[in-house]
Amino acid sequence: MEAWLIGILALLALLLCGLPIAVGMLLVGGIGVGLLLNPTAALAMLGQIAYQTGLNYELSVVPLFILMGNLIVQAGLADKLYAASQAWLGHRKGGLAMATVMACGGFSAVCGSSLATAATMAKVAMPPMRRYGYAPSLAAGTIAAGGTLGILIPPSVILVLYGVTTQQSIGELFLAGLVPGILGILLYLAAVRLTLFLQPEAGRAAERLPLADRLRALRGVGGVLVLFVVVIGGIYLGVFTATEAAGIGAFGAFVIALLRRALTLRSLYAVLIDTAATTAMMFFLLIGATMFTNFVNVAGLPRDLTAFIDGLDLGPVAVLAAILVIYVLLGTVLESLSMVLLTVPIFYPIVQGLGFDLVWFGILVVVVTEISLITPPIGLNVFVLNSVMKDVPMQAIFRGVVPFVLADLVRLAIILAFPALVLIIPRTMG
Amino acid sequence: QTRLRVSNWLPPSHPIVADMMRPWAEAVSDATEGRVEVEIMEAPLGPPQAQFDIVATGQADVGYGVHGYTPGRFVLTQVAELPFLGDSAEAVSVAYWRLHEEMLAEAGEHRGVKVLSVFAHGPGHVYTTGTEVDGIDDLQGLKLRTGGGIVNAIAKELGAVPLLEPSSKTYEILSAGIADGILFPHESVPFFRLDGIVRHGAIVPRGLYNTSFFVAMNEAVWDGLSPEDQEAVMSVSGEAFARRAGQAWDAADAAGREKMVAAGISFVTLSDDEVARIAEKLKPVEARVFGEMAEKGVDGEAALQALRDRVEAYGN
Amino acid sequence: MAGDGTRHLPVRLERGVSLSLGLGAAIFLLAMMLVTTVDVAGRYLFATPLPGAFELTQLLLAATVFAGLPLVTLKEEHVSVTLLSERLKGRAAALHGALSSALSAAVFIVVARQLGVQAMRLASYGDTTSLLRIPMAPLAWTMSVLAGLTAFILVALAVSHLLGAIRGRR
Ligand code: NA
Ligand code: NA
Repeated sequence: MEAWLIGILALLALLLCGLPIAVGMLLVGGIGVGLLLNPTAALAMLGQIAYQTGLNYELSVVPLFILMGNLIVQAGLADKLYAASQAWLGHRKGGLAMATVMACGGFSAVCGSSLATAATMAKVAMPPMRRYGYAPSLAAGTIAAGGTLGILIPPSVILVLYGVTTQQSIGELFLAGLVPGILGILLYLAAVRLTLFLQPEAGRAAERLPLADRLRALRGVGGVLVLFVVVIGGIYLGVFTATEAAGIGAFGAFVIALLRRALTLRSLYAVLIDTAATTAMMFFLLIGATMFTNFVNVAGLPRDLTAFIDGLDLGPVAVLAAILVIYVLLGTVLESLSMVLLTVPIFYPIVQGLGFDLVWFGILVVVVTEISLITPPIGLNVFVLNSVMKDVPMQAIFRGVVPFVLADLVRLAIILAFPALVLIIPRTMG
Repeated sequence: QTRLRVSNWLPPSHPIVADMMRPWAEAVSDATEGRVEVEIMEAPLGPPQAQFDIVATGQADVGYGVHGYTPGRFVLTQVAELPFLGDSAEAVSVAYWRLHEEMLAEAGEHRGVKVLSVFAHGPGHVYTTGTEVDGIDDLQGLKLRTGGGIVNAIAKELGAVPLLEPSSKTYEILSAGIADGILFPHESVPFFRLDGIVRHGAIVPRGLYNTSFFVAMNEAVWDGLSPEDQEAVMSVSGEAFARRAGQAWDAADAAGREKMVAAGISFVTLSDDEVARIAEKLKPVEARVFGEMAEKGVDGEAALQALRDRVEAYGN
Repeated sequence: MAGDGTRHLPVRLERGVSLSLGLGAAIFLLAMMLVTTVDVAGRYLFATPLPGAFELTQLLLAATVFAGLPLVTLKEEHVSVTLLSERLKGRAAALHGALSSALSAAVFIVVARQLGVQAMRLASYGDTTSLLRIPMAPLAWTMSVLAGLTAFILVALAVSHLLGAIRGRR
């Protein structure tokens, strides 16, 4: 059996035993390299990776975009987003669920992480939906699915990691996520309607607000809008790089939180610590994934994989489809960040070799990763919701996300069929 | 039979891989009559700045890289980054290898590896997206992307605003207009897809700057080769490699220039007067390098003069 | 996420680590944010970017990440697949926690050691940053010490899980 196959199986076994994913990857990767080369080389590689990953300038966007999202929550803007969406959509049938989708989309525009989007929106959107007697499956399913928009609508931590791995422009990737992100919102709205068509009692309408109130509610989202326009507009117009945009965005969120008098020394400290802990967790994963990737590279996986695909004699589209199927399957058991970190280094040279655009492939990867976040048995967004709302059973949430997974598959098909939807904005940048 | 794994961080089409390392791999196999085989790895084991360590610590047997990517570590090699070394990468590379053997190697900056060769790319010039540069006055306040090290200091002394960004970001910051221009050899402009973005090239005779590269083998691996194989490997490395590398850069530069002309980029060659003004402005950069070299016991001024003399004498 | 809100460590250790590293990480993060902002503002308003913004960001990032590692470890929030392990109860769960923490500790001990080796290499070669000439070895030493602290926390967690298993409760 090939060394890389043994390594992958060993890793999966360790992970299923509940070992932290990063630790498993470091163990298997380190031992694998030690056996294939020699132990000294493996140890040196470990030190090298830990050091270089910590110093990777382009990855500075990770903590800064997380900080931006956390500051926005602290400023109370997540509530404002929801209030505004509710004011405009709440009186329709299933309106609160649709408002949740809109608010998730809005929050995604200032938050780089899917988990953070889901966790934030759970706190904000769940209480009103309960008050109006929404079916828990619909309510929780909407939030879990809406949260996945966090990694497609820029800014996005996953797209940053993809860009760093594949050496694609992070700015282009961000802009490429815009149209598919809006498409995602529209299809999720359709998914809410589909649920209500099947289960008419799942969500009743709230009262219709007078126009004056609705307009007033919009003022609350001004801060989010300004921040999004500054960050993404700045990247689009070339005022700053995507890396710098993270620092500017965090600073902007800081100013907004100050202006809204939402920051005390204590709450600022809590936000910063929380951000640092999340960052460390992600970087540790990245260090592990890099070690494991080096192991499979040394073991010759890229060569074998290329030879295998050449041997299949399939057309490029069939190969791409096969890769996406692998993603969806892996996504059922792997956590999204680890999945991207593990698979992208292996697949992107193949995809590139087939002549596909790597920015487009990046968006495809994110869309399939989004599916992985809400599919059983491991759906991290579902777990997050389950931990925030203990009384909604996991099965109910998984049942609730089914229409949204369908929406995701439709979106995947549309993006596959029309690459121009993805590439139109980045290609007119600057 | 010995199998040497080469750490590789550039795409297969890059001149360093296609026209330097691959031919070298074949030459090693031929020279050792197949006793030493060379495998160039497909995926990188680490980022460009880690390549020296990757070789020195035995993660790979052989590797290549840029001295300037680990600032502070290599002081003497900065002499090959200074302005006005020469128009031919071949001449500069061969002269640089000889200088390295005679004056630089004994200081022992390359600890942990056997240096197989050192070389330089073609002369570095100024490329801009908007402003046409034909002298020092046009450079004032111009934001120029640099990779750090000597070239950063050069841009600053000339009155430009150096933007230190990794080479992977060159496309983004130039296409977006964050930088007004870039310092590069001809080859690199099309390689980084910049031929559709920059509009003007200002050619600095003999080059405004250069970059120093190494090819190295892990010391323990080197010691493990038989004396016969060591000799055979060196017969296709050292000066032979430097010459091949220089020729490859010269060819890549010529091809790059052709592509740029085809893309409608205009070229101006700086006048002798402007070059003299630039040379005057850059005296402090040279002085700083000489000072650092003196600390390692090497007369930098003499080394630079020797390098320039050898380039001048090359091929005559 | 493996965090279950249960306390496994002496309160004083937890508070001491959280406060000192938390303050450090908080300051590094804020500094990172300000460095970019000042750099970009300087570039447009005064045509003078902050000298060394690039390398300052790098150093601050490394410091933030490694100061955050003990924090996230303390909260037991490293991502893992809890599909099977969450079904474990009582003693089995405690044993599982002990084993998992012990293996993680072993990994972090090696990481700390290798970062120390890396630091010594950097010191011997005299590596610095490009512009500000800040020596790199002290940063690598800091990373090594923080990885070591993480290993120490993991050992303490392993012991506390093990004691829990012996006492037969969580
Ligand atoms: Na986002
Ligand atoms: Na999943």
